[in-house]
Amino acid sequence: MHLPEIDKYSNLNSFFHSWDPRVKIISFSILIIVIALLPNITPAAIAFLMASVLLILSKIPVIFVLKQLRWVFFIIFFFLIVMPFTVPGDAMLRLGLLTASQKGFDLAVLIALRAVSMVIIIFPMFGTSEFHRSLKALQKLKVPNKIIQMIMFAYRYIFVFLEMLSRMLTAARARLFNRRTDMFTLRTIGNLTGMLFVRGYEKTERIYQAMQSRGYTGSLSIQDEFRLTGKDFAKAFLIIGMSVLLNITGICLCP
Amino acid sequence: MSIKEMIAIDNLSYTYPDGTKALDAVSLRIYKKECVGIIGPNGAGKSTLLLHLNGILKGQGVVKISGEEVRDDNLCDIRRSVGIVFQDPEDQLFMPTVEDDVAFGPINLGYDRKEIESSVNGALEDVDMIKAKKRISHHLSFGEKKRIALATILSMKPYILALDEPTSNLDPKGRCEIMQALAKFDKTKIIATHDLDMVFELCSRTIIFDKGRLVADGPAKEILSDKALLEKHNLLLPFCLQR
Repeated sequence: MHLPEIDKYSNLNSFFHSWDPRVKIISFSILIIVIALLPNITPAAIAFLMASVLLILSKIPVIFVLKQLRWVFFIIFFFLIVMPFTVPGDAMLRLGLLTASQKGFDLAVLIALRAVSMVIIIFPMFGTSEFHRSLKALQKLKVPNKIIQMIMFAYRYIFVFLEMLSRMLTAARARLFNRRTDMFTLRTIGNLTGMLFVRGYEKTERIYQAMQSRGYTGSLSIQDEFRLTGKDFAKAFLIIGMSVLLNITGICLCP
Repeated sequence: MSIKEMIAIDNLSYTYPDGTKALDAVSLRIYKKECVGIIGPNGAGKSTLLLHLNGILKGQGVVKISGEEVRDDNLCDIRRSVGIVFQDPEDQLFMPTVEDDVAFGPINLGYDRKEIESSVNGALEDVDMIKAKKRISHHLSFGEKKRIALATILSMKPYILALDEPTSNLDPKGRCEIMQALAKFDKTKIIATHDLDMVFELCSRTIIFDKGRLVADGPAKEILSDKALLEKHNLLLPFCLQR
């Protein structure tokens, strides 16, 4: 079973790949916060263009990003359909008994632009460093140890659990199991899911024992391997500068 | 106590929370640099015994490592002395990269940066996996994972190696590599396994467990040649003795 890895293209060489992950995470986080607070469509559209340029600069293939964005698009599509008909305002379109408002449509587009821009920025932010280096950077940035451990174990073992699920499904198919819309299928899927939880629980027990065997007492220490250079600060200045400009644009264009 | 006595177990019993009696009044001694094969049918208590050696499980009875009783207040020292390699390397390799995994134990033991670096490199060289140092753990093959799991323990420089099924699910080459790696370690080794040929080749002594009880203990070649004894406990002669 295939699972997309956000750091699949972390071995490339770009403006962002050589950037210290700690400074990169801080700088992009500022940009993401600024985008989340943009008040109207024009600066949000500028943010979308900005995010697209940053993505191109990162050299991560756009097709790869678009594939990962399909669920975001699905949710946004839902917003674009529902919001014009639920937010009161001047009528833009009438479909029988339903009336779409301009205000609702504008709001949906604003949310869509902000969401897509923020998600796109995640790729130059976390996709240009190996995931474990990003985690080490988060730890250095004093993100609580328990959160780091949760992310790390989730990332490490999601592949193991998907393989486990895949093997169980293969074993079921080998005994002529076909997914249909009936109670038997539902019961089978329920049993498989339950078994996955039981096996997952047993596995976590064994992993915990293996950790205890090697001196684990609750907190995770990771070796520090970062060195800051002037270039890291120059790149940070650029991204934070872009964030400030975007924020000023948002304030100036606010009606 | 003899100076060579590395493990002393007296009257050890353990029952799992579901009521399964896994160990029943087990007593045994293991001496310095001995290589002991623990064999027995499934559910005999082999893995449960290993988990008692560094205090992961605590049953009734006494377990002593190098004369020191396993207690809550000395678990750190005990775990430094006894390294357990688990059967499934996926349980043992939980860090993102091979280097992080092998460094996990030394970091927890409070080694400084140089010591961590040298123990990681040394352990990876011992299992001939130094080239995999920067690799992502879940990208390794099963055989590689088994060797890295062994390295994660070697980096802590234990006196005693306790290995649970070290050759299970390995292809012949992987099995051979693990056996070669084990043969060269000059440490006390306890190997719980169904691979009787490996026990025949590596171990000087064999212990048979059945239903949580120690039922036979003696020189490996003697025990492994006793067809009647092996068959009584759902075991068979090693392939090398069946010809």
